[in-house]
Amino acid sequence: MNIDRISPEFDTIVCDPVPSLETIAHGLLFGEGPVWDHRQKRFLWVEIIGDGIWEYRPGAGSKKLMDPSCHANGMTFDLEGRLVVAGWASRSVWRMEHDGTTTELATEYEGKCISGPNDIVVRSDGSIYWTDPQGALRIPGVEGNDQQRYIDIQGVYCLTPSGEINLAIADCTYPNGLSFSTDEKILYVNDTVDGEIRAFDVTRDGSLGPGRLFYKLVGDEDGVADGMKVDQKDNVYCTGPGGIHVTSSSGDLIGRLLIPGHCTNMGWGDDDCSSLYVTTFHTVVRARLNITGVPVW
Amino acid sequence: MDNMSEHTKFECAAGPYQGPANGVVWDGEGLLISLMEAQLIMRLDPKSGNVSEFRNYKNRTNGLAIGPKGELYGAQEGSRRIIEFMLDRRAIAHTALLDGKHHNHPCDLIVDRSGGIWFTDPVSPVLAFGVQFFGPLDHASVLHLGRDPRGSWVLQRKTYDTILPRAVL
Repeated sequence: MNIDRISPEFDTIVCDPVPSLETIAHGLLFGEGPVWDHRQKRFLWVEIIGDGIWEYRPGAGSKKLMDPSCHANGMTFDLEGRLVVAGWASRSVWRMEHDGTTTELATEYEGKCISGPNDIVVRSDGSIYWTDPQGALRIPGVEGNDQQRYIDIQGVYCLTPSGEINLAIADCTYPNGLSFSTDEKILYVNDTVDGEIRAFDVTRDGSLGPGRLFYKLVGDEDGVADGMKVDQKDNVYCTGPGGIHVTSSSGDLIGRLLIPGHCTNMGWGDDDCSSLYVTTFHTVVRARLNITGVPVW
Repeated sequence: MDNMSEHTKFECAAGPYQGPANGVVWDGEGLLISLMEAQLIMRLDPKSGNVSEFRNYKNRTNGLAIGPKGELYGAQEGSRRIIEFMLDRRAIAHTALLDGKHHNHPCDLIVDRSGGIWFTDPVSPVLAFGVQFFGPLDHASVLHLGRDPRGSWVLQRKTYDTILPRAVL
């Protein structure tokens, strides 16, 4: 793997020699949704246009877990270890139960069909946050049952443990990736069109304060603001031009992981949570880093 | 223009709009007009002269056509597909691959008596929305979208000598 070292802090993340990229899967049509399942020691990802959910077990290989998935996108786990999915073309947030059946969790906001959940995170109180841009309604090859957009904004929503669906952020252009800081006091949300990450203070009840610019992505290489994760030292990892931009908790770029192809998202994995699994348009690759990530539930 | 008298005058029925107004089709009682740049379909009521928004967020829908049962179809250039606008406001994508490949950017369309959809499929200089996974075909043709006996949409190429087909009638 090539890197772009901006500051010495980056040396705490990428050791010397620079780790290689191991290919986990190739030939994909729009890889996304990377998430490590620490209970079953497996890595899951989606193929959005190829339309399915894949499973990889180290030492055992890959197999398709769900086919089709109605163009599922971001994935995470809830507090009970159930897979929670941003159903991009199904225009729903849904959950895979332990027996493999699925349950719809959210399809509407104030009586209107949501546009298409893109990425998703779960807070420690069980709240589910997701971004809802309009991409799935427009991109060729991601068709669902209804392509009509009904909600004028492209926002971030929250499904509370009591079942309420709240609009968490209204003033986005095209919200995409999102991630909590390690103490869950900040929710980072990136915007593909604006090419930036904003930080929102999280109150005790899960509502959000006004957003502030955290980091502006720049560069001419392939890649946009898409998936986003945080490590144990609160460095923020965001896809962008060239691969993955790594910023300190203050929003300063400390380096870039240069990944071939167009990066779409990433997830921490393996037993020590120090492997970064990265999805691109056509591959899944893995790199061992010198830092520990934040596991999902 | 040869059949028009020298006294014939054009009057502005709707607009003017920013960007081209396309896809003019009579729905039985009114005129539908597609505004590609504004992502809108407008409807002109000839009795009142009022023009109102009929559908929004249309992602560069160009040509419009009415089917034998009154169905309304659009050539959605910006998403490389034919789309049907339902009475309940849903928009249903009718997608099919041409020999395993995604077609280009539908421009204009017409529906025959059996419900088959004929559309022109040039390559637009404006890219489809989002990631470009599928390149253009090596031809720009008139295509036919019809149902097979099981009800699935099947796409067939109908012209082999067109370069940049636009309107179809």
